[in-house]
Amino acid sequence: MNGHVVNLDLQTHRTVQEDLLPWFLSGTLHPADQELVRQHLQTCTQCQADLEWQRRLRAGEPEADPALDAERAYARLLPQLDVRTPGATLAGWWRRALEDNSAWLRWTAGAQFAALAVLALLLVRPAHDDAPYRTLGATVHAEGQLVVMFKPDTSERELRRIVQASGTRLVDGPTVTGAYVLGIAPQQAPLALARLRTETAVTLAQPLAAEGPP
Amino acid sequence: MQVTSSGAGIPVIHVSPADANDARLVGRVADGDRQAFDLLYRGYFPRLTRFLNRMTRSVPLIEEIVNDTMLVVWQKAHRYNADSKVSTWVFAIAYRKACKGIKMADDPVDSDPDQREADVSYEPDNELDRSQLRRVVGDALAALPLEQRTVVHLAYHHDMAYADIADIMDCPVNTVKTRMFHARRRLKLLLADQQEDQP
Repeated sequence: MNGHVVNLDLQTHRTVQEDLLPWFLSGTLHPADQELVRQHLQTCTQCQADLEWQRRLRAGEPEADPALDAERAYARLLPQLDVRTPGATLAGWWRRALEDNSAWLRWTAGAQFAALAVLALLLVRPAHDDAPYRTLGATVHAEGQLVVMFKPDTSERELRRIVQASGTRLVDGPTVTGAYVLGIAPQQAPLALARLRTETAVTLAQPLAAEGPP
Repeated sequence: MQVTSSGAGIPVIHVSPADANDARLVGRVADGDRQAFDLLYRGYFPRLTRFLNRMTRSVPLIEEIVNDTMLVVWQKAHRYNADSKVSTWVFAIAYRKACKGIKMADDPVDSDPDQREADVSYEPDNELDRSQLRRVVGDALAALPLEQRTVVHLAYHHDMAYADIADIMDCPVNTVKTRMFHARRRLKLLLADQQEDQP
């Protein structure tokens, strides 16, 4: 293990211990961060002990004062509920109007239907643009995923260069911890990982799924 | 940029069945449905009182803050736009009301750690029974500054994500994480000090 790898481990350890552990417990982290913590915990006894300490703190939630009484409090609130704001009144009037089966409303609904029909006709006309279209969220089948973190002062241009040079594409991120998820075909992932780890601006690069034995 | 796991680049709020049910109830409350409000009130009363009880010990003040909060829910339900979870919206109202109410009442829960009972262990690793653990943790939490205590309580005892806590407390996410880090460090010191005081 060389010094570079040690630095990566330290960076991950600090991120997990200082920022992520409390929310790992409640399962509210971004999936990439949740996985990062899970992998780190497999080998870090210090974070394991910290996690157990926090579990005990969670279990020790103080109970609310038994003198608090929902029925008594609610009874005091009830007389105030008759006062509604103008916005609420208007919203309620509109909803009641929609439920009302009056003639003018039927005409309005009819006009709206006609307008929608015209718009629908315009939409179903054959399109002339045959260019392939791919949404940003479209899934790349059988794609591997890598978690990468960059030095805080890395420029956007440098980040873009590194991603392009590694042959990956940006799938997700940055998460709140500054991590990015990169996508690549599984068979090309080891090479991309090796390339990313040679970049000085990259502080962490690892597969999103558990890494196999070296 | 907060990107979802789908990679679509659009922030997505992960909605649990409980969140979805709350959102439906708020929709009905916007229509003036008293029965829906009744359900919402009874559902949130225990959660809000647990939360507020960490900010003030005054029972009348807590009930008043809950009622002020739920009155806003009743009056402004039509303005709830589902950008956040209902729980985040309600807790944010409660937090603002509580900060204002506590300031006016001058009745914070903050206590002097030196004045706490010296006959209990503050180390949660010990084999304490549940009630003793609650007392120990409660006293240690009470010694934290209000902002740190609120973050700890919302994260540990209400399972809220840091982004939701940031919304509730109207501060950046990094501030939430920093408060949590300092709170944990202080809690460890408090608990360790108390253990040393044990005979």
